[in-house]
Amino acid sequence: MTTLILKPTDACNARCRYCSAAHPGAAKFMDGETLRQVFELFGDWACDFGRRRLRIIWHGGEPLLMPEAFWEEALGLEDELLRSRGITVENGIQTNATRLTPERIPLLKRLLGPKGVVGTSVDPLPGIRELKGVPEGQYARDFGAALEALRAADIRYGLVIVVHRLALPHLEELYAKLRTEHPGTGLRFNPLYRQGRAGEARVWDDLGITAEEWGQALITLHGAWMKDGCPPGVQPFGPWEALHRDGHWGLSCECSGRCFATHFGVDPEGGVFLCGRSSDGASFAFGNASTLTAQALHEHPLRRSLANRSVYLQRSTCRGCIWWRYCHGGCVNDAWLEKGTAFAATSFCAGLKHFFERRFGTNVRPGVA
Amino acid sequence: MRPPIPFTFMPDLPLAWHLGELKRLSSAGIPVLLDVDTMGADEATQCLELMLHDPDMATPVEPFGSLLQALVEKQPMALWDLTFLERSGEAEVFRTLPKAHPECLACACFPICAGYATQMGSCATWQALIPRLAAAARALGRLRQEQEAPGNSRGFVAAEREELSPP
Repeated sequence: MTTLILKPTDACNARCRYCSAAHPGAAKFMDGETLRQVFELFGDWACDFGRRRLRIIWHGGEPLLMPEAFWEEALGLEDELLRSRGITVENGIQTNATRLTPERIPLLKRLLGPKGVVGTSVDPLPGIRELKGVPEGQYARDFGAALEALRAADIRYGLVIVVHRLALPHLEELYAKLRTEHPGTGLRFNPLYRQGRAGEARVWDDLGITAEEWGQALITLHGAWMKDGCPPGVQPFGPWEALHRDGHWGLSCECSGRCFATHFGVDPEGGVFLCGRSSDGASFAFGNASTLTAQALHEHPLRRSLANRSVYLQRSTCRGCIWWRYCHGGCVNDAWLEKGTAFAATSFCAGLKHFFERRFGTNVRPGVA
Repeated sequence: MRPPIPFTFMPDLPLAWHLGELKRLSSAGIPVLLDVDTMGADEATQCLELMLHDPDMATPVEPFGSLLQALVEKQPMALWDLTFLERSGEAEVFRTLPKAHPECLACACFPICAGYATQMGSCATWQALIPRLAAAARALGRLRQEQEAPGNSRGFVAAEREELSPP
């Protein structure tokens, strides 16, 4: 299956202190013609290379800033250009949820279908997430109301939590609060990376974490997860545990070493990138949907380079590392941000190693796959 | 098996002569080692085809034989790892590759070559050889799977069934 992180806009009604997608300049909104070109391209891709399965994660910016007419057009184009070709389409959405009112629930249900999940993110610490031009605290109120509306409509949601410096002393408490207030909800903990607003010096000085701090955060959160009985759906722990226990390899994109084979990102102007993070940072660009063909995309030298990254790392930086199977060199965007090259391991390598050694010891089979 | 003897292509003699000599040596049970890095793509490819298809070839032509075996057995290896090739310099080549030779990292042959041909100046030759070797390895792998599949050892299975069937 191919996952398409599709950003119909980079506009956002919020102003989160560490937003990785924020960038200067006027906001852009995708038009119908661009969306058609994107679906034509990825319809061909899905048929020729993607096993006729496409998962579209509507992202941003804030995708729910797009008007109702856009969504009606999107649903129509999915039927016309994708489903009519025998392509299975699953929709998901990543939203700050503050524009999710009960009136929008029917649209959301049509978009997501019976299995779709709303992805959102949460940060309970004050002053981190606020809405533009409204009193402090409104974000939290609107967010809470949105989650109530989702629960009432029986729509599942998952939470992304960005781990930053201010959160470090409160991780166990944060974990407990999330599990209490959102029972049965998937949780995903990500480290703050230095991009967008988080790339500004004053923001990074306040909120940035080192690789070692990320490793320690993983140890703390993992401890809380173990005490909680290891509930499913808490990432990144579940896949690593499954890999260690069963050899099962279901790692998420940043640890799979194969993100080039499974993901694409598209920006509001139809620019095609490696993934959503890449489209935010304008790195790893393949071209534009208006001119790319699926064949050209498949044979793009950049994709080949990204495919060869694993070989390169295994014979250089990551040579002999017993944790190779657990991270495959980590996210290429981390390497790009720190070193300006895809051919380096993630900047969080030291922290990951620290966590793996603490959790799994060092008596593991050297990484091969 | 005895170690392979070096076989050098002489520029004054035609390719057909060399192929004939390769065949003569191999059919006499003498394994041969080619200096692939000094050969042109066409010469090297024809030697590979001889090894793969000529029934009179009784011994491997190195380094093709070792590489083919590694590919069939899906060993994680690259040209740097082959006994019969120049193996020093990998670390230095790798350090400089992203900046000095980005085209190398975008090459489909990189998983097997891993920059070796860039150091040796033999990219064109190995770019001709590697896809052919990979295809041969896939074909040999499929053949091996078919031969090892249950029921293909017909004699053994048939005998077992006879023992279990009622009198």
